[in-house]
Amino acid sequence: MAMRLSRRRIARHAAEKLLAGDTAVLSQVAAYLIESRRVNDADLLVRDIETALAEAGVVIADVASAHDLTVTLTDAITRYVKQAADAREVHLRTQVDGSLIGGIRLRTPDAEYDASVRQQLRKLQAMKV
Amino acid sequence: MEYLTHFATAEAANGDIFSTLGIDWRLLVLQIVAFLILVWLLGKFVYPWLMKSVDERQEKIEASIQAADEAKKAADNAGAEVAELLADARKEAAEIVATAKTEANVMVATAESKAKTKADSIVAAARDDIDKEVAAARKTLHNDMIDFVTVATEKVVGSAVAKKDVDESLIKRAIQEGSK
Repeated sequence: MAMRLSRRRIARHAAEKLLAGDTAVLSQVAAYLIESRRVNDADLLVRDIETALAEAGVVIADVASAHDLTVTLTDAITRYVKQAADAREVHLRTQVDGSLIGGIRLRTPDAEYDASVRQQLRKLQAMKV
Repeated sequence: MEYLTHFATAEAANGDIFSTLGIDWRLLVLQIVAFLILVWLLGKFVYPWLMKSVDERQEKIEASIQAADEAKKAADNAGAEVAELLADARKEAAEIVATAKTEANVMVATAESKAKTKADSIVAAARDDIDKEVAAARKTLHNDMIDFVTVATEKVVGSAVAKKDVDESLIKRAIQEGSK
C-alpha cells in the first residue's frame, strides 16, 4: 500500500513536474489518488496544483462570459491577468455562461474579478433594505 | 247759699256748734274709739296678713321680673352665642369653600396636566406610528423600485448586450477599469 502523502506536497511535486514539462505527472497523481482512495480530493488537489503553479508565476484562470471570446479579448484578458497576478505565463480556461448576460467573470487561484452584468444586478439587489 | 249762711249764723248765735251741726259728741267719741279699735285690729291682724300677702306677691313679681330679666339676658347671651356661632360657622364655611376651591383648582390643574401629557403621548405615538408606516412604505417602495430596475435593466441590457460587439466593448471597459 502506498504511503499517504499530504495534498500540498503532492500539489507542489506535480507543479514542479509540470513546470519542467513533464505532463505525465498528472497520470501518476491520478493513479495515486485512485490507489490511495482519495478520488474525492481530486478537485481540491487540482486547485492546490494551480495555486502552486501560480506561486511559480504560471497562472491558470477561469474566464466565463455570456458569448464566445474573440482572440483580441482573450489576449487582452491574458495581459490583464499577467499584470494583476504578476505572472510570467497565463493559461485561460474559457466558458460560456449565458446567465452572466454580459461582461466577464475571472477567477484565478487566489483572486476573483466579476465584471458581469449579472453581478451588477446582484449588487443592485443587495441594496434592498 | 244764702239760706245756709243764714242758718250757720243763727246756730252760732245759740253757742253749741255740735248741736248746730247735728253731731252727738258722745257718739263721736264712741265712734272714734271704735275706729281706733278697728284700726288697731286691722293693724294687728289684717294689715300684717295683707302686707305679707302683698309682700309675697311683690316678691313673686320681682322674682318673675328677675326671671324675665335673666331670661332676657339669657336670650341676649344666646343671641350673642348664636351670632358668634353663626360667625364661626360662616368663617368655617368660607374656609371650607376656599379650601374646596383651591383643591378644585389643583385637581383641575392636575387633570389638565395629565390630559395634556396623555394627549402629547398619543400624538407622539401617532407620529411614531406614522413615521414607521412612512419608513415601511419607503422601504417597500425602495425594494420594489430595485426589483423593477433590476428586471428592466436585465431585459434592456440583456437585449443590448446580446449583440456581440456591445458585449465585447463591455468586457474591454471592464478590463480597463480592472487594470486601474
